Amino acid sequence: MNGRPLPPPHDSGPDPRLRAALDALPRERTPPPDKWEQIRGTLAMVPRDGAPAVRRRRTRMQWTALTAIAATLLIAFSALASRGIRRASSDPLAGLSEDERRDPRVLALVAQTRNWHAAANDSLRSARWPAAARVAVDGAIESTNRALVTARAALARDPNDVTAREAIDALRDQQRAILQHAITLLDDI
Amino acid sequence: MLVARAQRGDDVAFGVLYHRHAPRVFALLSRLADDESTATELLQDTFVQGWRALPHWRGESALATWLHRIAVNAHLGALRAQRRRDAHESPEMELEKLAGIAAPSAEPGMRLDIERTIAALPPRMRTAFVLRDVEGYSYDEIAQSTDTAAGTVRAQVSRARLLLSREIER
Repeated sequence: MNGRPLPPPHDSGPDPRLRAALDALPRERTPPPDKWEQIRGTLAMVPRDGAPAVRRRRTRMQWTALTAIAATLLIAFSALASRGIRRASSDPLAGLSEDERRDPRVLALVAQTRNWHAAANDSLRSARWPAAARVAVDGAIESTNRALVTARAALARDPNDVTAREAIDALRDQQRAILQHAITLLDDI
Repeated sequence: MLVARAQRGDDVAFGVLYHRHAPRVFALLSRLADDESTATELLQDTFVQGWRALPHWRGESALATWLHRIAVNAHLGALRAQRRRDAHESPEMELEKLAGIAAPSAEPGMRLDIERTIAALPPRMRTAFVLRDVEGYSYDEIAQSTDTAAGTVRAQVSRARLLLSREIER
């Protein structure tokens, strides 16, 4: 005895049949389809390493507008998509008033929506886009469409409803940003 | 490009990374965890932790490897918490539980039977086996990560291999 610990026994690994069976196990499994949305919902609340939490002071008016948007979104998310919404998502100009059709903000969104449809329908361009990412973008657009329908209905009932008007503008900007961002990102893949 | 965007806080870019990597991470967690619900929770923990730590990722390892490591750590954390709850149960006692495992399966399909037998292993044995023989960790790494003696890890892996080999021979 020289006092040294014994070396660990040689590990020959699993027998060949077990090794072959383990190698044949699927390496991928699709997570539940709504998981990303749940995760995404928590990211904003997660402090990031190396990135000190930014505390932005918002004015009372901003808080009011944000609350209105959140309330509108909440109502819209819980409502069923109407046929009108589906029409709106396929034809960006459908259901818009003459005034809206002249609004530069609306026209920018319409142009961006057409860009998105053109890119998504271009089989060469979208060949490498992950299907799930595309579905997520379509879902986000449909959600904002629903919220827009609700806010526009509120404005139709009361043309002086400033909150509804601000919510509509914010939603359109948000929708345009989502589309623009999605196209840039997916084209990078 | 995508990673750089996600590092700067772009959650849409992070979403694309999620859709690219989540299926492999979820397959790993589904093998390690007790059930689907736990695996799904751990998947969320993995990507939230990944989001939190991503600004520090410098690309020394592939992003997939890095996420795998986070997933394994998330599982081990859950396992340690469970171990504290079940403090009265030693790894050796887990070995004794094996007498009741691996009843013959009436369903055909070797892969399914192996998956089922892996899932039926006691949690710490399953962890040791999956990390060693599916993920390629060393015994020392597993021992260190699971706060278990290396000899116990070897015994767990050896016992799991025996059970699975028997399942294949059926």
